[in-house]
Amino acid sequence: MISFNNSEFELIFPFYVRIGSDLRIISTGKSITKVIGNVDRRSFEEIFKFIRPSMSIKYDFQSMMKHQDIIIILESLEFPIKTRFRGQFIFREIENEIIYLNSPWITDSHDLGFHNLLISDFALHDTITDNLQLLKSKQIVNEDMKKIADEMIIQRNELIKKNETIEELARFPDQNPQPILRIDFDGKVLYTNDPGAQLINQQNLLTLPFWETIYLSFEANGYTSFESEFALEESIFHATIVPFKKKSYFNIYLRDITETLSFQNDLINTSSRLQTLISNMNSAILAEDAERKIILTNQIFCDLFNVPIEPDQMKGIDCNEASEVSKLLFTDEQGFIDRINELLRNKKKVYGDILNMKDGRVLERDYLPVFEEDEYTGHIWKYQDVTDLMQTKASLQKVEEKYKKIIENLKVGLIEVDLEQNITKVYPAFCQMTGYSEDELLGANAYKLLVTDEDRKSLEYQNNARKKGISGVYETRIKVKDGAIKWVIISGAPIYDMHNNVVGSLGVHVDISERKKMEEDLVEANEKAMSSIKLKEMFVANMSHEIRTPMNVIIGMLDLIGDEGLDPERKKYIQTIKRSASALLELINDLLDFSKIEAGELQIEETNVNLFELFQYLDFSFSETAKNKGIQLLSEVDQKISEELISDNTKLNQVMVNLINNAVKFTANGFVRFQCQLIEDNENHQHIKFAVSDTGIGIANENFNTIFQTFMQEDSSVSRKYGGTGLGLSISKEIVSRLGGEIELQSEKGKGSTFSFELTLRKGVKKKMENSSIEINMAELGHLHILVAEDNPLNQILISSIFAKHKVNYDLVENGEEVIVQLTQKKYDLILMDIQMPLMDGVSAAKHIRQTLGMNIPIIALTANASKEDEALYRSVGMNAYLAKPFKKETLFQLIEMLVEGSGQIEVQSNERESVQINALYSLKEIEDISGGDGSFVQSIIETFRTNTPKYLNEITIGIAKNNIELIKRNAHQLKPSLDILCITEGSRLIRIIEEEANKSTVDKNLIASSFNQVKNILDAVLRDLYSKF
Amino acid sequence: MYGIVNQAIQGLIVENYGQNKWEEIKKISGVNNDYFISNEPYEDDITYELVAAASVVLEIPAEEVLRAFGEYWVLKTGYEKYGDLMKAGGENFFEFMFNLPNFHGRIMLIYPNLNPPEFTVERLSENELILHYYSYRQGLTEFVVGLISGLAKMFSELVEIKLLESEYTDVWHDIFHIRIIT
Repeated sequence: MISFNNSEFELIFPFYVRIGSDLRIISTGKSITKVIGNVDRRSFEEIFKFIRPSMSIKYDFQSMMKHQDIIIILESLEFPIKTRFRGQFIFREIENEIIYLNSPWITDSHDLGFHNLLISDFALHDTITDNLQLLKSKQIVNEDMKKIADEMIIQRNELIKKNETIEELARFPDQNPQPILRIDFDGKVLYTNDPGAQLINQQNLLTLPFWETIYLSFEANGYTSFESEFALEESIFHATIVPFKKKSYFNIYLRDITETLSFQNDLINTSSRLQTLISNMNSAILAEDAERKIILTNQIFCDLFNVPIEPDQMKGIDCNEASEVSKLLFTDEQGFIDRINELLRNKKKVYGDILNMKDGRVLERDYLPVFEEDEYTGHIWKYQDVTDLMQTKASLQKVEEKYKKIIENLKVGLIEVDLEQNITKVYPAFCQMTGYSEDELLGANAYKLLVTDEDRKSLEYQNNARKKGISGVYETRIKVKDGAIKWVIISGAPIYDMHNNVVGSLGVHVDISERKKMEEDLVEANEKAMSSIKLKEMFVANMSHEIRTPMNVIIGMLDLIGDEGLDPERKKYIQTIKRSASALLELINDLLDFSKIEAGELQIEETNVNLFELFQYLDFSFSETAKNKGIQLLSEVDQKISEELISDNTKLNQVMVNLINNAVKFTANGFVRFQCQLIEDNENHQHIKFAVSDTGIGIANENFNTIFQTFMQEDSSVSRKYGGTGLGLSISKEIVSRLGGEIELQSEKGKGSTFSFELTLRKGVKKKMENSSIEINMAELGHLHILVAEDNPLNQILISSIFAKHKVNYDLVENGEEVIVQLTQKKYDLILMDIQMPLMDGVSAAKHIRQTLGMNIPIIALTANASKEDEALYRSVGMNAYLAKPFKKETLFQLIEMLVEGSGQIEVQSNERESVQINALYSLKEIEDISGGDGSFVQSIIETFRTNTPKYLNEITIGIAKNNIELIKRNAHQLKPSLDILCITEGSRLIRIIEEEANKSTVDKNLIASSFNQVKNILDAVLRDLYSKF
Repeated sequence: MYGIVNQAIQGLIVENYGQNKWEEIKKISGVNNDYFISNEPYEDDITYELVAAASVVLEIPAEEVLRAFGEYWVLKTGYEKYGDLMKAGGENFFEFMFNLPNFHGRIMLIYPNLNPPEFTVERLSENELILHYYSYRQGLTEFVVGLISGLAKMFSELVEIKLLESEYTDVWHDIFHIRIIT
């Protein structure tokens, strides 16, 4: 156990600090008191700051206690000079205090004084002051080292810099574009730059001549510098050779002088070439200096001016004097001199002076002053003998004049215009063509002056083409001075300036008015010819009609005779007549059809088609003929085919008849088969193939096309043997095409043919009123009274026979007037009215009956020719139906029955092939179309119609009875739309008549009444029908 | 930092990658100093710039540069320049670690303007300890890892170093768990 008293402790630790557990300083050593003063009882935290550790330690007795084994560095806080202390904490458990044993932490002995300390203030064992000395000396050494290092760096940097300069300088010869070489006296190359190396390697500088030059010079002149030239393979070099005797080498500085030499040579050559050029020129040349002394001339000059000496000898002669001699050669002597003086005065280039010589020659002279850097140094005269040229020019001018006259005499009008169409040049013929004078045309705008309004657009197009440099030929009209219009053909071509820019155009005009007139005449003649052909066609068509009427009578009469029961002989005659008449009718029908096709009047009408019935009919029609020829007739209809199809029944029948007729005609034995087959079936349509095959003579392959041509049979022998017009197939082909198909042919000569076509037919709706449903009760017709109007005696006989045979009461009249008279005298149930009649035709008569007489009697039009337009006409005048002649009596009776019984609008179209089509009283098609398949909509429309129509009719009846026009008008107006929508055509027409009449200031009550009666009948029938169906 | 630190970086680069790389690193870092004097203080930025540039030029992450530098600092700079002092630091790695807190305190006499880090050590067991590292400088954690790893190599011992936590308030504070494996 070692213990110290206070003075001993202080001797060992003169800087101690005692810290109590309350962190107040208990006491301090004498030396530290010197530095920080008396801090007893002061707070440790106020006096000291932890320098190290600073992060892990706290101002806390416990924390400080834990840092006994670590160096503690504190810094005094309060004093002017902060002093650091380095030491350690000792914890004294007995006293519960910490003693901080330390020494001041001074890093420089110089600082001792600042801290108010002497070496004696430190304990003797404390080495801090000694360390300070050590540190100090280290610091001094450090600073010395640093200085040395800095100096070294400076020197190093300077060295680097100098080195760079030396390197840069060393590159100097290398950068020289001219070759440099250093060669020692033994001939060894010591240095060369790149161009020098190239000279050695590529141009063989170091050859014998090189060494000889060097050696000889050194021999003769000692080692002194000299210059030389070396002609190498590609270039010539100038060389400066500089020897350094002491160093035993010489430098060679070379320079490429190839171009310089070449330029010098060029100069020399140019000069001599110039001399040669002038000597050899075709013109006389005289070059003078500023004092008019001759510098250069040539032989031609000497010759031209009869100078007896050589050109070279003329150099230096004064031309002022020479001119005085020369002038004698020219016709205008003084003029020659004056002009020369004038030119010399002006010193401006002049070309093409013409000089006439006394001997008849003509010279052309150019004058060229010569300036060098703006200073006049002389001039050149150039003379040329143009005697021949002048003569040629004169004769050319004559030729030009001649052609100009030719052009002027041609009737070709030429003008030139600029880009704005202003006329810049006019030739006389154009003046003649237009009647304008040249003065009037020049400067005028061609566009405004000559172009007609109609042609402005096409002319603009042409002008634009010219601007783009495109030529063009076109026809147009022009307005001439007297206002007339002329047709011209214009050939336009662009005109270019020197720089190839379009500056205008040249127009060559040829008057083609005459030709145009001829063209127009031709068109007119052609039209006339065409109309003549048309007339012929009309004649054929009319003739056919005319022939058809007697034919109709003949066939009708034969029908009647046929019923009588004749002896076999006569029966045979009658049958022959019947066949011939039928053949003739067929021929006429073909002609009629053909003329219709030709005139584009072939009408396709939609009717119901029942193929089963059609084929039955066909089978029936041809069975007799086939039987007679001994060939089999086979008819086949696909059972899947609908009975209700829509197409043109008549036309379809016609085609089939034609094809079967041909087949039968050209088949001697075997069979003829006609069939129809369902190809495709869908909701609305059936696609059906029709075919007629036979085992007849067949058709050669090469004639397939011929047979379909008009008036053509396979060959002329066919016509002779089998007869016929050759129209049948071409008509059939046209009809099938209009029905939407195409006839195809498969055939082999001698084996038979098959004609087929395919059609897509619309599925129809079963109608109540059909042929089959109509039964004619002949007995019921017996009570009828019919008025027949027919002027043709043959027809009269025919109709009379039919009616007489069936005990129908009838009266016969011959024209419309008689009809009117008859109606006023007698009551009739129906009128059968021919259309074409003398005095008053059928249409006029019908009109009169409806409008004047106000009668509602059914009228059937009888006509041989009924187009759609005709039908419309008949309907418009109030006829109820029409019947095409020739007709079958059954058809006539059907029609009569329907009209009389139904009192409605029934249209019957009939012809010799007995196709009957009956249009309904009304049609729901429009409503159905509108409804888009909604049945209830249709039903509601019908319901409304059924409810309202009787009301309107009743109101109108009252209106008529009470003479209340307003009431009539209002209800007619109300009724009108429903008639339109149900397609009650006749009713609609009549109700309009009523409405129109009611609107007039003076009302025809009779017309209203009669029209209304008809409307009422029609609508009654419609209502009845609707009630029965819906 | 004192020149000795930058000198150590220079030594590390030149020894391992050659003078050219060092010149390149200096060029990129923008550090113009031709030499560093050991006991001269230099701006901290110089050291940081050199480490960043070394990472770019050598194409290795800055953390790896710092670890390598930490090892080099112990094994080359410490051992070669202050070998005796290092040897006096302890008989073995464990002992040296416990003397580590005083190490800088002593060095500060030589480098009076030193602003060194502080360490405190807690013993966990015979071969485990917790090392607290406090510093005013940021981003030198991996350098510390390198230092510890270098010390272990100096004493031919294998240690496992785990960074448990890093926090920054006024000073940077890393807590490492160190276990001696052999």
